[in-house]
This record gives sequence, structure tokens and C-alpha cells, in this order.
Amino acid sequence: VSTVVQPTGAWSGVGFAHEAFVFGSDEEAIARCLPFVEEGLERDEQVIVLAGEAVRQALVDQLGGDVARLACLSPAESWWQGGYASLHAFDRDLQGLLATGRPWRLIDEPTWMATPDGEIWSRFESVTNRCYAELPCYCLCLHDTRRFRPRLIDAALRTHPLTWGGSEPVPSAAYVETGSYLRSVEPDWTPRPRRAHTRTVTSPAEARRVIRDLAGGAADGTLEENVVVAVNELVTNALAAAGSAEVSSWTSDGSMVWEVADQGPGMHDVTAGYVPPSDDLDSGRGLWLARNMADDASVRPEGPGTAIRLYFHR
Amino acid sequence: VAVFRTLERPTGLGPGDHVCWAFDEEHPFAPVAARFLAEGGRRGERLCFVADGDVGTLEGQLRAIPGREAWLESGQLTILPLAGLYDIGDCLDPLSQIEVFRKEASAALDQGFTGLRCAADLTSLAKDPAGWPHLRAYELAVDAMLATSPATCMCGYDGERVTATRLRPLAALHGQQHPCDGRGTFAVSVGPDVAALLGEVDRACAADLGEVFAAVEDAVTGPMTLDLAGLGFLDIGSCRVLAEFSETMLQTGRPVRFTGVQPAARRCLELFELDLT
Repeated sequence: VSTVVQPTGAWSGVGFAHEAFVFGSDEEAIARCLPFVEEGLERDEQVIVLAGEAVRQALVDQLGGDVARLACLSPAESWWQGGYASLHAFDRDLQGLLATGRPWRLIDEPTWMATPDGEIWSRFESVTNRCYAELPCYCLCLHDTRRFRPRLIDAALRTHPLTWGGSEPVPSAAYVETGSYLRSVEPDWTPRPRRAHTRTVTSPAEARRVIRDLAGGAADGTLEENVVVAVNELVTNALAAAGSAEVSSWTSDGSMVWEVADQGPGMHDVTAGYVPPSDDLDSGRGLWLARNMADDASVRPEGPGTAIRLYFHR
Repeated sequence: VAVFRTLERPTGLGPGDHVCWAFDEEHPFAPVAARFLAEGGRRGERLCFVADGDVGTLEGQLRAIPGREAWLESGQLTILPLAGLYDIGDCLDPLSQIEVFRKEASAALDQGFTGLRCAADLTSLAKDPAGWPHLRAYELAVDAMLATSPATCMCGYDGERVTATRLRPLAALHGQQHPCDGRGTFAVSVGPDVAALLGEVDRACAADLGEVFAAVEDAVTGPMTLDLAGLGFLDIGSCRVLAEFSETMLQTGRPVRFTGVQPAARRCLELFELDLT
């Protein structure tokens, strides 16, 4: 009895679908991708393929002249610019796709996740579920067990709501909601150590003097400037919310930790600053930039006011 | 080369320097102007003092200048009531005023002086809101003129009669500043080929920065380059002002190219898709 394959299940071009396809051979990948692409072309959707050599070659061989109908067929690696920059570029591309008024489907093979700085991409995979929920897009992410360590495969299944059931996409049993996932991979929010240096500031200029004073000698020039820019943005937000800000700094496990706290209305959204800013000049970019410049960050999950920490590896 | 620095004293200045000196009742302008002019007099510069009041009163205000009588008698020191120099009843005409200034500086050299040094209390010009755009344009033009003329200029503004929100952007059109509230953090200079933003800018001074770039927008007629090499810090809030300025300029056929962008500043500016080189 043959099983009817439904490459996108019940997805009909409305809303965001996000699947992690885990495979161990080129044949498996091709068997998943080819019908996915063909269905997209049949539905006259925009089809984008950012994948490894095997999948791309198979599509060229199998699609014949239809390969020209793909909106994009490129090596996945060509697209990686680091976590924040890649998501920002991805976001800008999405705006262009959205403007066409047609749904689209994407094959994405994040080969860069196997590199030391690529692992952070799993966080953005998780964030897309929340920030792109309304986009008319099916995103099929390929994860090769020959390339990725088990914990990356585990991360993929935790950050993608869908996985492949053999004939259609099915819910991923390991999936966790975006906020919970981010909390699980960001540094734990522990009490501020007694050795921390803490100052209260009421203006950005005063904050920069404090930051340079506290960072002086603890960081080289470039790192210090990155710290100044990033922490200044947190202070600016805190001043807007509360009129004053508490800046603290300490070292922990080889990292400089900077905390900015205020007594304002309070913001505990763990995804804040993960979502790319829009091109609208008024949209917030400060926390996005701060996260981008730091090696890691975390938002205090509860309590009065807001407190955010940035981590810089030395 | 455009510079920015804050001043504690009105001395140590020379040709090309454009000083904004904010004063108040406790620390009035005339004694400051006297020290400023005395330094120029010792260097053989022709001196000019401009303020509200009649000549006799203004002469009296400069009594602290050693050798004042001799300088007045020889013509090295000139005292001019503000009302006689600027037609305060009307809006200031920046370009014609600048031309007068430039000719005076050139004439000073012809007369054997080493340059022209002018201290002017311009508070009265800043009182009328209708005249602010003209005053901004004037200050920008003075700054540009000083880059090529053998002149030193100190503009005094009474911080108790000119609101801080007006005074701060005016001060930012001067490379040397004595701010009355300690908040002078940046300056803008507009030359014939390139404008420069100097110092540090952040969200706290974003409104001032917007005022300053409104003046630049009025003054620049074609494509322009904005040099950020002398900018020690900028944040997202100030980048937003630069992006708005750039967008407005582009819409009016005057694209802005940013040069001298330091690495940390680049990280901010890149979020606004500006033309960075």
C-alpha cells in the first residue's frame, strides 16, 4: 500500500510553518526536498533553496527546466554572516517576499551551526516561531546527523514546532515554546555577587564615564568600546523608563558581566532584542544592538523594574 | 581641521577658533570678553567688542583690559553697539554679515595687525524665535569663514535669557564651548566640501542634534560628505537623527556620504542603512 506524501501537510499558504527535518543520508534529504519543491512550484509559490551540494544537484537533475522557476538556489554557507546579521538579512529578504503578496517556502540547511559561533542560530530558529508567526511561509530546515552533534539535533527538535513523520509533517514532541527555550540556553539569572561594582547614573554621558572607569584595564580598546556602546544602550532604555539606572559590573568564569537595572514599569520579555528592527526609523534598535555586541545576554525573568545582563568574553 | 573642546578659560585661543561662551548674572560676559580680547591685543590682533548698550557703557565694561586707552586711541580696539552692527528689528542676513566680517579680517591684515579678534554678546539676536533659523545659519557661516580667515571669534549668550534648549544647539555650532550647564558634548562644522560632527552624541542630546542638522540642511545645497572621524561616541538615538537627516537630504537630491566612521559607530549606523565609506 503506497502512502500519499503530503510535503507540507495541512499548510495552505497561511501562517508560518517551521519544520526540522533530521536525516542521515543524501538520499533521505533529496526524498524530502524534491516533493516539497515540486508542490511549491505547482502552487505557484515562491520557492527558495539554501542547501548543500547534494540537494541542490538533485534539484537541478530532477526539475529540468523548472529549476529556473526557483526564486533562489544557493549554497547555505553563502548566507551566514553571524547570528544577528544573518537574521537581519533574512528579515529584510522576508519583507521583499511579503511585498509580492504570494506565499513562499524555504529549504534552509544551516550548515554553519556546526561552527563554533554558529550554535547561537538555534536561538534565532526559536525566535522566528514567535516573530514570524503571521508570515505566509513554510520553512523546512535540514539537519544532517553526519554533520551535527547530537545536542544540535536536540536543539533543532526543541526549536521547530514540526518534524517529519514519514509522509507528512507532525508536531515535534521535543518542541518548547520560544521563551522557555531561550531561558534554557541563556545564562541563569543568579543573584548579583557582592564583589560587583555598582553605580547609579542619571545621564548617558555619566554612564559612559562610569563604564569606562569600571572597564578600564579589564578590556582592550576594541572590547572596551563594544562594552561602552552596548551598556550605554541599556542605560538609555533604563533612563527613559525610570529616570535613573543602576550599572553594575563583575567578572565571572572569564567573562565581564554588566548589569543595568531600573525601577521602571518592568520588562521581562526574554525575546526582547532578538527580533530584528524594522526599517522604520522609530523602531527600537538599542537592545538588538546591545545583544549583538555582547557574547551573551539575559533578561531578569521577574521582579520590580527591569534588569538586563550582558556578557563579554575576554 | 575641525575641532571640538570645552573651555574653562577664555584664553589660549587663536585664529580659526570659534567660541561660544554661555554666561549668567553671576559670571557676566564683559570680564570674559576683556580677557579674551587682551590676549589678542598682546598678539598684535585688531580687536572688536560688540554688545548691547552705548559706546561709553561698553568701554567701561572693558576697563579690565590693560592698555585699553591706548588701543582705543590707536584704533586697535573698536567698540560697537550690537544694534548698530546688526539690524535687530529685522531678521539677520547671515551672508551679508559674514561678508562684512571677512572684509574686516582682511583689512586688519592690510593695516598691519596679525588678525582680527571679535567678542560679541549676541543674546539679543537669540531672543526672537522667528530669527533662530537666521542666527543658526549665521553661526554656521561664521564657523566656515573662520576656517579660512585670520580671525578669532567669541559669541556670548546669556544663559538666563536664552533657553537651554535654544542655547545648546547654538553652542554646538562652535568648535570651542563654555557651556553654562556642562552639557556641551558635540560640535558641527560645515566646510565647503565636507561637514564634520565632533565630540560625543547620544539620545540625551538628540533634540539638540536635530536642531543643528536642521541648520546644516538649510545651509547645504548639494551632495555632502559628513566626516565622523572626530566623533568619539554615538548611540542609536543619535544615529536616528543622522538617518532622518540623511533621508531628508536624499529626498531633496542631496545625498549624504558618511566618512571616517569608527568601528563601534559603524555597528550603530549599519542598522540604519546609511552610505558608509
